[in-house]
Amino acid sequence: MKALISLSALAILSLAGEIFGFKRQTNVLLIIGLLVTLVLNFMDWNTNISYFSNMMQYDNFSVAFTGAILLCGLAVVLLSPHFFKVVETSESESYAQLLFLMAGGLLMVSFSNLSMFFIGIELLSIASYILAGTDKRNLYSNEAALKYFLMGAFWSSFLLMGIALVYAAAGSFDLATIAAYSTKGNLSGYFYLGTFFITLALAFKVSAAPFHFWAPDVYDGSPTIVTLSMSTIVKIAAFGAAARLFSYALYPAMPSMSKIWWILTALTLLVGSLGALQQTSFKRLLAYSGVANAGYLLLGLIAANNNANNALLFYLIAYSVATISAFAVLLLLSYKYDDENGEHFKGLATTSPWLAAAVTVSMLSLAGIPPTAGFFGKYYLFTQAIAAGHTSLVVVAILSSIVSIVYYFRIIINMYIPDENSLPTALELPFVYKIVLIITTITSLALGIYPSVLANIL
Amino acid sequence: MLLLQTVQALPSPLHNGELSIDAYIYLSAILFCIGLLGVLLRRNVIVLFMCIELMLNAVNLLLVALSNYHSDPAGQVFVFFVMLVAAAEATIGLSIVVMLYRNIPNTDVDIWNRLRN
Amino acid sequence: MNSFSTIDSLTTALVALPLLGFLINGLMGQRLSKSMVGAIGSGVVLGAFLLSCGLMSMYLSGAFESHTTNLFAWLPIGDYTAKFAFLVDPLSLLMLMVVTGVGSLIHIYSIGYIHEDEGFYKFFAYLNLFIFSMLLLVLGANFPMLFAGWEGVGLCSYLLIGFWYKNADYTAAAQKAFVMNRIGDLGFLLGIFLVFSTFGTLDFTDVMNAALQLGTDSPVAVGITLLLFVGAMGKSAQLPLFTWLPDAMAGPTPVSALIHAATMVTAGLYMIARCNVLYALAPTTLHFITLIAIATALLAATIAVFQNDIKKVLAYSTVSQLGYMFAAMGMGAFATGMFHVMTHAFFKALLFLGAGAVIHALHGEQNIGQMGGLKNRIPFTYKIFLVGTLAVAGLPPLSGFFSKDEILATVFAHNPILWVLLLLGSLLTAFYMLRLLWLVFYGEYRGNHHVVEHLHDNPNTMNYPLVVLAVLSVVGGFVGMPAFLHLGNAFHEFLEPVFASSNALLPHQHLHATTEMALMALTVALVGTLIYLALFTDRLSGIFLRSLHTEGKNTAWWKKLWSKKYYVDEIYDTLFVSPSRMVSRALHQVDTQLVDGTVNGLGHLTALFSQMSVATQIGKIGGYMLLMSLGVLGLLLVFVLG
Repeated sequence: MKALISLSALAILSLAGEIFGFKRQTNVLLIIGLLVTLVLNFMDWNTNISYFSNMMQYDNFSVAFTGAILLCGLAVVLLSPHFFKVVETSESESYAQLLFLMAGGLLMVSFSNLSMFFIGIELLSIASYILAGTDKRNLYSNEAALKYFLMGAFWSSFLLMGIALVYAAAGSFDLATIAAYSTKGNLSGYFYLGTFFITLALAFKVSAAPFHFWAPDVYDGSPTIVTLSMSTIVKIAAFGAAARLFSYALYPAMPSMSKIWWILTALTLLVGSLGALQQTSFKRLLAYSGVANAGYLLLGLIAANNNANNALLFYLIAYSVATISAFAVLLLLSYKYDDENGEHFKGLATTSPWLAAAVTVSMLSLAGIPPTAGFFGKYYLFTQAIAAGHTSLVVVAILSSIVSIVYYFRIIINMYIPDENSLPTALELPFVYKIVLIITTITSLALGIYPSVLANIL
Repeated sequence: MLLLQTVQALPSPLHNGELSIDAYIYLSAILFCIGLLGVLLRRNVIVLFMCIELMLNAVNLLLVALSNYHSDPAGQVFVFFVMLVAAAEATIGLSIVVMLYRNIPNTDVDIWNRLRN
Repeated sequence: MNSFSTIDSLTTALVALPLLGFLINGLMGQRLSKSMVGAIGSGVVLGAFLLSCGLMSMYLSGAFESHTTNLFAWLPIGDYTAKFAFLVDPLSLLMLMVVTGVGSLIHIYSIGYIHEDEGFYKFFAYLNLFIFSMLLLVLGANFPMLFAGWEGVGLCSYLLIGFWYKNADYTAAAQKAFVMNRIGDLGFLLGIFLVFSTFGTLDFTDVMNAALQLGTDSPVAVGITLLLFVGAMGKSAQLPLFTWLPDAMAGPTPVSALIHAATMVTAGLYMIARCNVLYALAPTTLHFITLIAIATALLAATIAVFQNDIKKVLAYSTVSQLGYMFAAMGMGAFATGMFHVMTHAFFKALLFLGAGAVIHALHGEQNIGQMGGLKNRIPFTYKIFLVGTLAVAGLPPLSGFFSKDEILATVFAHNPILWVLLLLGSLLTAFYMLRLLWLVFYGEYRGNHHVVEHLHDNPNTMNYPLVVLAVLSVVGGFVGMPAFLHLGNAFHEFLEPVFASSNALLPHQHLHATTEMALMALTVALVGTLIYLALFTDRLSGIFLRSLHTEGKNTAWWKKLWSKKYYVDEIYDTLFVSPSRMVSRALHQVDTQLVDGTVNGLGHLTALFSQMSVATQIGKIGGYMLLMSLGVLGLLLVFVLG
């Protein structure tokens, strides 16, 4: 809770920065503020207090997911200043949106009432619609904002319908009351239907097929730094919310939904990894890879218990860390070339071997090759899915990961083949980028070698 | 045939000659579907947005009815939240539309298809 | 963990050394001098070898029988926690000796071989990493450790095949190896999952003890062993996943010697030996393994006859010899299989390094059509190669003779028809090896005369390892004397504790001493005749020379078939690529968009699916809304009706 208050205060502070003219200092202020927020957040570990007459509950689940969101936010803030030099926009307003987005995410992982869940998801969504359109003169950014907004609003109504139907059956928005109702047995059909709609709305938010259509276009069109926050923060928040909702309240409806989950997961895995094969733009590739990774994460939702939530958290962290590395290098390349074509990775290793090494680790982790965090992330999710009795889905997931090796390794191979079009000198590497890349790469490797630090925290 | 069976299996909207809660659910489901069809059939971005609002309001109606049915004020409070969020969404939506209109003066959504495979 | 015994510390140091070497060379190699990098790279492996010797002597002196070193809790899975633990028993000791022993020789050889390359330090870093992964593989006390090593060696193999990454073909070969291995890994991983769901544990000792309760040929045991064997097919290049190994020869020659002949490719055999109890309980799987193995052995041997690339001949020979090892495993003769693993490591490493010496001396020439008559020009290399050839061919008393004879005798005891096939295979082996030897070293030089004028043997760092390997190839077989000599088979006795329970499960036919002697005499006579004809008379030289040319109208069909590797690559193309091409042509009429463009090297089927998955990405919001609504409707139907 302290973290949420502090984060909102920071957001208002950066809005004030625009008004009172200290926008140049906003970035530094935010970095310090986010570090403080992180400390405040982890002070809540093992406290488990509920707030506002049981509207929110800060348990270890919330603290862990909040921590992940804050860390990703910190990385985005660190990487931002160089980006805003290239893209003409109002810097501290964008920071404010980013922080509101994170505040929405925090609500989504700590709600204990469906109304807070709704407020959180809307706060997050509205901030991300604005962020997608940050680059006002750019037609791609415009289009991304429009698509994201229209489809997002469309799906908000489905989410609401789901919530209303669950309310119709359970007579309350409170998670504990709903759980008490749903474990009683003899459930009304509205409860199942409501759960169904909520599931679909969340599937949209996490870009699960067949509701993924927005993801490649929006990821591609948005400014790169926004894409980074969408593929890390939004993903963590959405999966956190789904895990919380299903494992705290709606789990009795899971068995009757198993076919739906099967279809969603299998389609997502296949569409994501097969779609990524076709991409030349690195950003679009990462968008599709985000879809495929949503598929792996869906495996962790099906079991809807604490162990599965832990596996989910592990994978989300592994995925976010690898994604941040990849995006950091992509940002550096985009400053040089002004676009995000995957071709620019060609021959990177000859002039910038360390950058190439960081990308290699990140790609290995995304592809799930040991000894990287991604391998254990997949491994834990697969064991959870098998424990929940979904062996056939795990087979699909393994097939999808075999396909994914092809496109991740294409990037790695490209980097190590000298190319006449590659840069003659090493890429300029600002200090903060260096720090972020070192931390993410070491984390990817450390979690791959000693996964037990995160494997049993929830 | 199957549809007929499904419809017949639904609870009756009339209960002892009075409207039961199911009637409200059917009403809002019908409104929701009208909004949905509007979204699917219209191309004008403003109309599209209005149809989405209709879908939201269908749910609002349902929430108010349910609140009365359960004698629980939370449902009505939730409606206020929804209205608030809808207002915020409308603000953002319209400003996005204005931003787009400045670049390409057209309200047809399907001209925005630069991003694709 | 109560106390950290000497064995614990030896084992930990043994594994840590190559990792240390990798870290030093990988992180600081650029700043160190070449001799420093070489010394560190080889030194750590040599150190590991000395530590292995220490462990071995402790074992032989009876200090322990089987020892588990628990380092830390590694992977919690439900109630079970896989520890980061090493298991030292005769089987892992044997593999340790081979991996570190042959490994350190090849490291020393590489100092000279790779000296001019700018990636010198990277090469040694990768090699050290490979040794580290291989040690994890053979020392791991549970399936996750084995799998970690398994993946690690795969990764290193991939990195090293693509080491000369400037050549696009080489990187393609690297990718082929990786993808093929992944297909195997899929089976392997599913096998591990099945083990876990059946036994609830992944520790080797616990699993094997629990497996004894299953009873013979239970479906679970067959399932597990088959799935695990799929992994072995990938890693150890058996039908139908063998085509990556010859392509992998694109890597530097020491890599081929170390990874693709002596160590990594035997990982599959090690895995089967490690799970011997499970395999002994699944005779169905064993039959399957035997069939695959014998087919592979023969197929690869025939292909090897018409290959003109010196390394490709050796690669197919490796595939064929791996087939022999698997055949032994399939007969339930695990120790016999491991015996051939060991001797093969010696002579195949020797041959590859010898081939490397030839290639190095000829400045990169690999086509044997461009060689010939090198006997007097590089006499040392010739002698080395001669020893290796005779060892593979199975001339007594060289090491290859003992191990291969043991396999043949075992097969004869089970099924004389299979024995005939394998005998044929070993005659082919002798033939293609003699062909290789003759074409490289005898006759007239057929290549470019500028090269041959300055021809000389290689520097000593490259020669010493060859001498050691040659000695091992000659005497290595004496640890496993044939049963009828009653000298005691030291090798079998050494491995006895590991295979005790599976030996009790399997029926063992023993050959009568006279039968075995007769068989042996027959093999030796046939092979000896071939050797005599090839090296002491000129009878075969015409055949050898003609075998270089496999193109043209008058070539016999079987010659073409063999030299084109049975068109396996083409068959895979026809089986998997062409049907999908037909499908895509049909769909072309329906929708041109679907088949536009292809994705390189993936096969059209995947490309097609891939295109289908993005074909819906039309960019229009209206279309997306419609598709998503249809998705809702479809799922709703499934939900309501299902």
